[in-house]
Amino acid sequence: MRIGEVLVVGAKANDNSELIRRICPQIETTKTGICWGMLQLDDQMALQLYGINWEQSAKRFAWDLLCQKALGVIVVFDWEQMETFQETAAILDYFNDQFAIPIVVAAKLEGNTSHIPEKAYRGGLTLSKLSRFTFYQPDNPQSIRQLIVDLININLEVMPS
Amino acid sequence: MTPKLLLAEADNTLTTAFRNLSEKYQIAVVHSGKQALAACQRESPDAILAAQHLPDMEGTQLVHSLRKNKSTQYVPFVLFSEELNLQARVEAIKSGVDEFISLPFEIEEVQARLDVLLAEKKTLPQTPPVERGFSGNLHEMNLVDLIQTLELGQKTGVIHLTKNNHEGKIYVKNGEVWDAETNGILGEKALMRLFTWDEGVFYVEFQDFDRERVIAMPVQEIVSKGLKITDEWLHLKNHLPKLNTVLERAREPYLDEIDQQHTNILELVDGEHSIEQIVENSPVDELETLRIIIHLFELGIIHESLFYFDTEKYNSETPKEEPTNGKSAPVKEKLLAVISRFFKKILSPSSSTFTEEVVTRPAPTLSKENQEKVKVKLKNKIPFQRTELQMLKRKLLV
Repeated sequence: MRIGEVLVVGAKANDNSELIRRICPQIETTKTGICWGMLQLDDQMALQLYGINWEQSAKRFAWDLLCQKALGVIVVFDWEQMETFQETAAILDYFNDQFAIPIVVAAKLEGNTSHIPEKAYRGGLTLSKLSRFTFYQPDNPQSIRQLIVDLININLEVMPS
Repeated sequence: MTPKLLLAEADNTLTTAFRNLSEKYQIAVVHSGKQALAACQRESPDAILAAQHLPDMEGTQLVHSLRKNKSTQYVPFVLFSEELNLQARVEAIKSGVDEFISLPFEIEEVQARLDVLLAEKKTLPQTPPVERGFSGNLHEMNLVDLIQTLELGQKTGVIHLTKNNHEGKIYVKNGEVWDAETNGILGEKALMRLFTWDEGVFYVEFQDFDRERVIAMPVQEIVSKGLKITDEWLHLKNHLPKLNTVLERAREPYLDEIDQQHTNILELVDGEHSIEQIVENSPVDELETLRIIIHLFELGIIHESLFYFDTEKYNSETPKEEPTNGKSAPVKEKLLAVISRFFKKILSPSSSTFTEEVVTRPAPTLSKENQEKVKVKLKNKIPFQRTELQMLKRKLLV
């Protein structure tokens, strides 16, 4: 069995677990803002998704161990709640500075897509060549799967052919 | 309608100043000259406000590129700089800048000057490229399609192509291709080179031209060659990193390991030139050059440069943040070269495994971009091969 690991990180534990729950049939949660679920793709391949809540002490987490093997990090935030934007920028900066790992910044978007908050285009998020920005719909499993596809695409881009 | 402004700057000086004017203007922000050029094609801003020092080019270079492109030649351009002397202002105006504003500035003054420029722009005739022609993106309509279109209509005109900072022209008379030019190359060779441009923009100007016919090949043969080149180019590109990747030698070839043609290409691999620059300077055709580069990769003779040092970028990025301690830039460069050699040594295959620990925390003197390159090179520890990742992707998309 080949298992790929994906980290789902966000300032709100609910966003992480909600995303994982939408594509994994079963999800385990802890009281410390960590959850995980497995997405079985066939009898040979599966994805293990770890949802980890980002908070002040999060930098002490064993990211280096996880980031060594993971396909990448999905940084989740709610597009309509701009107060999480600063934290998202901080998460992104942290991962960009510390690890060479593919990152997809996933903005949760429910309903209206035309409203673009001012902060969004003021250069608040610094994307490196290993990171992408995209929207996802929390109710649509295919939209969430696409986030992992985006991570795989970044891996393919940087992997020697 | 709210005017669209494009702000190009490395820091947030302009963005901060315009923060409270989002009702008056639609504002988009970019952080490099290349991003600005791309955004101009995409967004068609009503005015561009740029800092003189951008990470990849000067503001004056940016305006110079914009003025060469018919779709952006009349867009008002305001340059912000700390340079106050007359010479700098004259140079800026010569390169096509409409307004020159010294830093620090008062936003009211900028606004007033900007409004005048925007009002003047309204009185200008609309940009000419679409008057008697058409324009588009090469990604959506490639050169083969364009030539076929002109042949079908038996048209006379010039196809203008722009890719990054490069330009190309193809002269067509009554549907027949007469001549082509790009980067100082003319005729058939230029045409074949232009077939490899799978991105960029074009516009077709329906106008007669005074030029001798240089390309005698019939259009059907050109189209068939063009299709072959386009397909082959895309196929070969998939076997390589991005074409702006800088290459360097990994080792010297063994005696008789490679032929003369390979040697000629290898001589162009110097740790400073990207794949696309090597293709441009190559003595053999584009496809053969890519084939040789791929082969040299496979033989392990060349690899991506981990330590490519962009002096221009470095100089524009560091002086404000990093104390020089009296050391001149060349000294820094030398230091960087020493550090590079050190890292190369510890990265060699024979080195012990603990080196990863060292390299993931690169020396602070490396630019952020180079640090990233180091880390990217070292990571790749995911337990999947390329084919497995592709399979994984397919399963996810089902």
